[in-house]
Amino acid sequence: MSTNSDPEGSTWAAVGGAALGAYSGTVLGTVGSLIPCTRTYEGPACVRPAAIAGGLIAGISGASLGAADAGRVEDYFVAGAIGATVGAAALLAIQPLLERWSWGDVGAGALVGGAVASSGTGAAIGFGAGAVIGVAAWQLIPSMKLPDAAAVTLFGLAAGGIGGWVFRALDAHEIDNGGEAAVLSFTIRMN
Amino acid sequence: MDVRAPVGPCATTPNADVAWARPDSKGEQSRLDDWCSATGEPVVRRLAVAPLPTDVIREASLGGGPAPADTEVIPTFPSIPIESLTVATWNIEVGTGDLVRFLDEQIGYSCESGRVHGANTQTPFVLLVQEAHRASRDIPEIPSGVSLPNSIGKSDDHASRAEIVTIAEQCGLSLFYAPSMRNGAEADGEMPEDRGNAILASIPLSDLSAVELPLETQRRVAVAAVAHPPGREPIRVVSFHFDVAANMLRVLTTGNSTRLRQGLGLARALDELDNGETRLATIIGGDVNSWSEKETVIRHLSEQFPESPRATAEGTRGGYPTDHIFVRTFEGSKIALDESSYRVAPLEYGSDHRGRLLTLNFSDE
Repeated sequence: MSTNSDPEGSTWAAVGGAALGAYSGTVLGTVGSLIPCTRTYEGPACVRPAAIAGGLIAGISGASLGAADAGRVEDYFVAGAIGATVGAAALLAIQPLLERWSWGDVGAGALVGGAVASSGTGAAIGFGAGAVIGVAAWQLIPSMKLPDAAAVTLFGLAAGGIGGWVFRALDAHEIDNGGEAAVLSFTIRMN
Repeated sequence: MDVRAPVGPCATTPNADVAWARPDSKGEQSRLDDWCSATGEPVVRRLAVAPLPTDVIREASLGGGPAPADTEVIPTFPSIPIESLTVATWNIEVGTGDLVRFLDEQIGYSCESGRVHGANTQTPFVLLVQEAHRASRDIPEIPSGVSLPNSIGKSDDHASRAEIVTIAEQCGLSLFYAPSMRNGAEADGEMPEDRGNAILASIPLSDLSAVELPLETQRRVAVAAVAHPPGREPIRVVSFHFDVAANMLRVLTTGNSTRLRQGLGLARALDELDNGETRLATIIGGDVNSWSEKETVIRHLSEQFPESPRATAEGTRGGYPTDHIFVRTFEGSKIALDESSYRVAPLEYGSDHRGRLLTLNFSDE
């Protein structure tokens, strides 16, 4: 969760949150729909609405989050910057393995890394769940192949990341309205 | 796509007229020219046909029906009208696939007989080849500043390779080969190689065309020719090979449209070659590099080639259905696809792909 929670939102935080969310959701919507859309007649035309929907959902959520808690938006910007750096570095690292390489690809690595990292734990949970389900289906269903497992994994990443933005906005408003944060409580009993 | 006369050193073909088509974009043309500059000229081998015994000739044919207007006059051979034509597509992994054995076991064509007596047009076939290669000192030096693709097939586990020109001569077949790219850089003393698509046939080929597909990752040149089944209407046959994937940035910004763009570019170029007047049945086959038989490009090509056999999920490269054949006839055509004949070869014959084959039947009515 946030390390810089500031339950005072601001207009600028709302704008920043909207921009960050829109960017993250657009990239995640694109990544998540790439493989499934390649199996449709529409193809690239099917990716576009998924990217727009992802951008809208995460953008509105980001704006709502910024209006409620400017500090958390700041945190997610930092996380996104770190993710972009890691993404770019990863593309640089695999350069020797690629037949064709360009600085544009490093930029693409940064774009995806930033989008995933700024969406936080939601993307990680979605990725993990997608990977487990995808690999299990690949192993158990004869007609499923490795790209199908990859498709489920990337879809999980996207759905988790975009869902994460929604969850953050709801969570921030719940705290803002005096509600309880979505923290699991537990008791340790010593016998 | 822009259909044009040969321009530049890459589009010269001694003793053969090849029509070239390429994308309209000047930027793409410039990059395609860079790729092309490291390759040699296309290769055309005209058919030598075994004469039939005179008592077998019931009705002399002029080797393939009417030629389209304004085309070269093809060699003519007396022959009886054939009943069917086998069309196959096979990625031979830069010469690793054993073509001689494939032709013998899957098509019933004897290369030994073809070499000695000339091609037997009564075992008619057209083989659409991908990853054919040619090794020759005629391939130019690598121009400075031109980046090359990785080589394929030069490692020790690919020791036995046959180049496409040698195979055509060895089997007495028609050949049209147009390189797409150089096969990597050669070591000192090593023969230069290029690789690309080819058409091998036991029947005459004419009206040769080379189609540079929209540039995504690597230069891809589809080769097209009009095949002349003895005593039957001519058929346009096309061998193509699409890219596996574009780079990451392009995948994200285009929605992974690499193969769709190349497929639609090829279809458009073929329409332009037909010029709206010539009506030829057209068979295109090649390596789509598809992961699934439901991919967008397969759906679109099946729509543009409505008589295509149903794309199947059966793997041709490992478990992936990468190779497909598409068919388009026209009203009044006497060509019919035998859908049940659409099959995958049971063996890879040394390649990393299995071939796909189908049979076209001809009717007299």
